[in-house]
Amino acid sequence: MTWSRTRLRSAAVGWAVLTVLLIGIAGLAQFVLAPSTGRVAVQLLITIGLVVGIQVFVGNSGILSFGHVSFFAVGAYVAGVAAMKPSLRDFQVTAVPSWLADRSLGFWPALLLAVAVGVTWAALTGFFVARMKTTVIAMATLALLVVTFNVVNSWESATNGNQGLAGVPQLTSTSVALGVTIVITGAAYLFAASPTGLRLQATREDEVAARALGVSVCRARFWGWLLSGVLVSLAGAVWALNARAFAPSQFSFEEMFALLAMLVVGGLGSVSGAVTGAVALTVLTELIRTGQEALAESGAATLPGLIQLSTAAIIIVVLVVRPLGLTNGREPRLSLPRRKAST
Amino acid sequence: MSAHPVVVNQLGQRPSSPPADRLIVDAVSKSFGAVVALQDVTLSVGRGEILGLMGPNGSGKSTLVNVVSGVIRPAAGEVRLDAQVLTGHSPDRVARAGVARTFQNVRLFKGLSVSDNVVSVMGRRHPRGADARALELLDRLGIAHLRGARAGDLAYGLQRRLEIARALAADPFFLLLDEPAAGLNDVESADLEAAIRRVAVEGPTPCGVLIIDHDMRLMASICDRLHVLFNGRTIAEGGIEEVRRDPEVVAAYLGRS
Repeated sequence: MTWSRTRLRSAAVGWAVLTVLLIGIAGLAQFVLAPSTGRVAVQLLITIGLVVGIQVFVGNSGILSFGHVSFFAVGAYVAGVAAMKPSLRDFQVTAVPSWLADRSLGFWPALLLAVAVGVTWAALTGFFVARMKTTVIAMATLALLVVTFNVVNSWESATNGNQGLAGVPQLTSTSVALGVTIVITGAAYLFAASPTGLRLQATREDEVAARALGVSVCRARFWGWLLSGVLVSLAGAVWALNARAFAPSQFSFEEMFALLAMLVVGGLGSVSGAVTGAVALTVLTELIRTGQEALAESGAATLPGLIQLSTAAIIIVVLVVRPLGLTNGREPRLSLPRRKAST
Repeated sequence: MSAHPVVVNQLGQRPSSPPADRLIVDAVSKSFGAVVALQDVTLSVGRGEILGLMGPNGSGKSTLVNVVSGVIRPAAGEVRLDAQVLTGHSPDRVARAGVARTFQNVRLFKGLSVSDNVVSVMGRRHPRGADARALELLDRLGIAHLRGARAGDLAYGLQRRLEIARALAADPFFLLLDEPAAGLNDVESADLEAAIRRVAVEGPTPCGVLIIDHDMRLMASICDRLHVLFNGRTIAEGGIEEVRRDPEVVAAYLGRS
């Protein structure tokens, strides 16, 4: 294992700049805009966390995954069920481990439990994903999405089936959402700078050459998948503890597509791309929604489906004009005074 | 060479394994359908030695490199590092055991920087750090000043150099170079020759080199020994002059085309 200091340094700089931006976004929404948009700020921060979590695998490996919605669901349901009051939980969910049956977990224990289950699930699925041929993985992740949706939708004793969960306590504050998102982006930057992350990028660029030079594609993909899954579970748990109520439709193809759209628009190859895409599409969606509400009030036609349509249009435009995404698939070059190489 | 048979699981545990002295290709055969690509080919390279593998197009040179690097499994015969059998292991394990390669059509990690191309395949910790090691390797091939550039943006000749630097970053005992001078002009290819010699024989830890090419002039100037394939069979091997005068080699090179 050989860590490159140059890579670490630029990752640290990127993370620091991003952290400042995230604090700015959160502060702007929390204090400057109306309090109602405070919720939008939390939502945006969590969305950034989800997209960056997905980017860790998809961006570094270059393999599209639809299956990450599975980790989102695991994080959300585990945290949601664990944090709920037993009195509310009992008539929705019956399959609860006995040690949890008569208590409800606080924010951090619920998060921890969600991450622990997320690790296990990511390791289990990653074992198989890492051993698959590259061309097969995207299909397998699609299968994972379908399986997840159906389990969540049908396992009534554990998830309350298609009715979803209601009465989840709203424990996520803006500052906590901000903190978790900063941690997630930090982990993503660190992974991209790590030897394993770099090897995963090498397999993305040329799998045959990477193998021929000693890179274990299986190992690199496993660790990328594992970290990615854990980060998405974490974001999913924070999301659930903000949502109050949610249903299986949240873990469907449409939702996964929306998250992937953000990643594609911003640029798969970089953490900053994931953030850019998440912010751009969230803002766009909010604008359109506000516009639609205004239209509805004035009695005009509401144009349903406009959000999906414009998302699709933006993807097409971006793919034509900037195929690697708004950030061009790389971390932006931040010109800092560089120490001259001693030669 | 150890007296005990090498435990297969130990393959690829580079830092703990002792350096290998000889790469041995032992009676390797391979067919693709009815086409015989390799038939009973035996050769070996020592560390610090440059062996040229020659032959007209379609004579089986690239197939042999693919067999050695674990991409293709031979129908018969085996490849060994000293007593350690490489055949049957995946390419990444073969590479970690100490055999690195370049490709006939350059295969860099195009989207990564020049420096990252080299750092990404480093298998072990270097006392002075990955960056210093990368700089040293790039410097040995004369491309240190380009370390921040995107690999795909380099000129073709420089890409070939980077590929060699990257192969060396895997700390190989043996280096397989598949047509390293293809597509280069005379000046570039002379430069590259010098670089290969410098890197292979004069480095602090010399490795053995197996170079593939069909250009007799280039090969004669850089190799210690030559091995000539024709239609998958060995038709000549030995010193440069000896091989050059070999009637079968002359016939293979001049007679047919």
